[in-house]
Amino acid sequence: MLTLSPDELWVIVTCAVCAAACAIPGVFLVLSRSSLLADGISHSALAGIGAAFLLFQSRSPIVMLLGAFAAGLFTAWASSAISRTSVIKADAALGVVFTALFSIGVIIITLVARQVDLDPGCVLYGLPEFIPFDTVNLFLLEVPRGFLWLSGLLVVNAALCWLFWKELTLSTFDPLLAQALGFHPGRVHYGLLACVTVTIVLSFEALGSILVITMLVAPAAAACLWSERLRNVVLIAVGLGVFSAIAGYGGALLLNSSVAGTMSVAAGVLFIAAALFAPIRGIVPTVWSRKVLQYRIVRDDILGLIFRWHEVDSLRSATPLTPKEVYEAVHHPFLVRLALRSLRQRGEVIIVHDDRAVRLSERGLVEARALVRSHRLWEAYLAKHLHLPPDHLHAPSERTEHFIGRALAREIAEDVESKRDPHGKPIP
Amino acid sequence: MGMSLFEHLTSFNSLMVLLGTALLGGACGVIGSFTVLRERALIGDCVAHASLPGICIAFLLLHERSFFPLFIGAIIAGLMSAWCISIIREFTHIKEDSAIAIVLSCFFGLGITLSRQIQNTPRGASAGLDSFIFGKAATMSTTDVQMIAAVAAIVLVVTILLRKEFTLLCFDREFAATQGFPVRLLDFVLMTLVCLCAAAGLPAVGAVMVVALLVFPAVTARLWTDTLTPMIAIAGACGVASCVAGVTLSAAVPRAIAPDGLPTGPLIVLSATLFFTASFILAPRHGLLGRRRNSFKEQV
Repeated sequence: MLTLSPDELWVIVTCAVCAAACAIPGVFLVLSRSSLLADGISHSALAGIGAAFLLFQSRSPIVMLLGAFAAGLFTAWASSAISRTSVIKADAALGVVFTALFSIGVIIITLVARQVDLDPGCVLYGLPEFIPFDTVNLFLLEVPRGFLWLSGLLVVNAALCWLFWKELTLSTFDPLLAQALGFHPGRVHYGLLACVTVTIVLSFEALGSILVITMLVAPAAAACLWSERLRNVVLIAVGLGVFSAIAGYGGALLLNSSVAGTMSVAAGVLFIAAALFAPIRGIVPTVWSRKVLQYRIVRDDILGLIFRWHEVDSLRSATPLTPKEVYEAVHHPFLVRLALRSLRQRGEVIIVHDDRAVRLSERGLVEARALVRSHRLWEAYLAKHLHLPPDHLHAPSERTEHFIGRALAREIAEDVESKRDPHGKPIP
Repeated sequence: MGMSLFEHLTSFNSLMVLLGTALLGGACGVIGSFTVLRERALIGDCVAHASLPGICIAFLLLHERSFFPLFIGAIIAGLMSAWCISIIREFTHIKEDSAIAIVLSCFFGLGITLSRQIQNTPRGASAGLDSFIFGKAATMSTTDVQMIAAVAAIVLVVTILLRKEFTLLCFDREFAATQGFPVRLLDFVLMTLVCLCAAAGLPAVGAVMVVALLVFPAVTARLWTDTLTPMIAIAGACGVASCVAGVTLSAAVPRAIAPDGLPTGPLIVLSATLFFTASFILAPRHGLLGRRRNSFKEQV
């Protein structure tokens, strides 16, 4: 059994709180398609921190926070102003602004490096392992300073999300409607970005300037795949963030490596899991349901083929339809064999004469008739209402026949009032 | 100061830095024109940051800090990150910006995990792999410059050979696809060129500066012209000019202000920013003044 020292527990709790605090604004950032602003803001914050130090000659966290805050909002404003007023696209404008500010930040920090131990590397990597060493006394309890800041951040982010739920939802999903209703989506967006900036800066110590982007975006994006209801998305994002913090700490112990790095990898793995297996939107369910549909269509095509073969042409009915001909007619080498075998097992298709002839059983006949009926009804419907020429009727009906249910077929039949399709074949 | 600055600039080391960064700036400007027009300006950001795990894995496999294996590792990791983005874009509902942000930061997280592990091994303490984020142009070696020159040559040749295809890809991908151009292959070639530039530039100027070199010259050139070939030429020239100006600035800064000198990479970006700002105001048709004059003419 693994035992954790109080220091290690503090690290885990602080990381979890930080991840939760990042996940809440992250959801709205992802949904409003401005995830890359997080990248830009976290780089430009360096310039803000440096400039604040130059101006006020103080290392107090409030001053640095204010500097970073101003730089973050400036990045958002400047990049949108450049892309709005010139031929430059939004992504290039953001690239221009944040790299320029980052460079200015590096130059300022190099200039003042003698006076203050601002280490760009520390901002870049984040060292949650050192959080327990800087504590304050709170109600007779030694509490890490980082934990206090981050839990304050979590409370504020959660409260803002709860208070401005309606405004955030509306201006994220339908900015025009929000504008029309007088909600000022622009102000809401800048409010969100202000919140994101503060979150990024306060997370520097725990996560560093690049990995904070993971915790803002990855759990939120994964949650968007798992659920379609915004309330659930926020809750899932927070849960995924906390989980990746805990899993990340475990991974760091296991690999003897950086906690922030493994946290980010854990969040990435959770995102991959969501992208693959999320119920409706995941890759595996999507591919699976496409394959199932494809299989159904191949099966329908086989039934229709056999039905038509034995239907009118007496010459053809005399010559048997062989399985080989079925394989050749339906262009899908794997699925057609699978479908024919399953049809045979279910007793809808009977294969007689030593595997040389394919016939429909009673049950298969019922199903095939319904299918061909749908096909020909749709041809008649298209000819009647869209006045398509006869040679344009088959292809659309071949696609639509699989999706016309019994009730719809009845309605179409009442509408077209015909016993024959436009090619003169009987509608079964 | 003038004479000593001249002497400083013409020393062998400074000439190497000047040559290396100028070639890099030119190559990035040319290839950046296409990525900016393709609305993939920040793919360079992703590729540059995502190179870190590739570099670490190459180091873990070979246990040596020679340039070429790390270079190959960086290219492979960069290409994989671009591939991941296209997978996410095609198969899920996640939008491209989130895909880029996730891939960038998660690859970087993996890189940090690996580099910390390397640091924790007794032999890895001197690896110093993380220096590549900030870059150390002041210590550019002859190998670095040779590699950059090779990359610049490849970029130039491929761009000249595939100019028509790249143009079509950037302006109308769907049309290119219907005309039978292998758009996926072309996208891959474009990404490979971006990765080459990023991998060659990382040790010289660092990740963020590579992004700047890929975006700034192209965007500046875009403000001056609406035609592709002049835009590529201007972007290349602007990339070279920014680097030359940055290196000169770095040499010219008096030791009284910055005892250890200022880092070259950020000064290059600062020069590029100045070029961009000037163009943003002065460019004839798309600059602030030009647009003001045009709207004034219309009013008259």
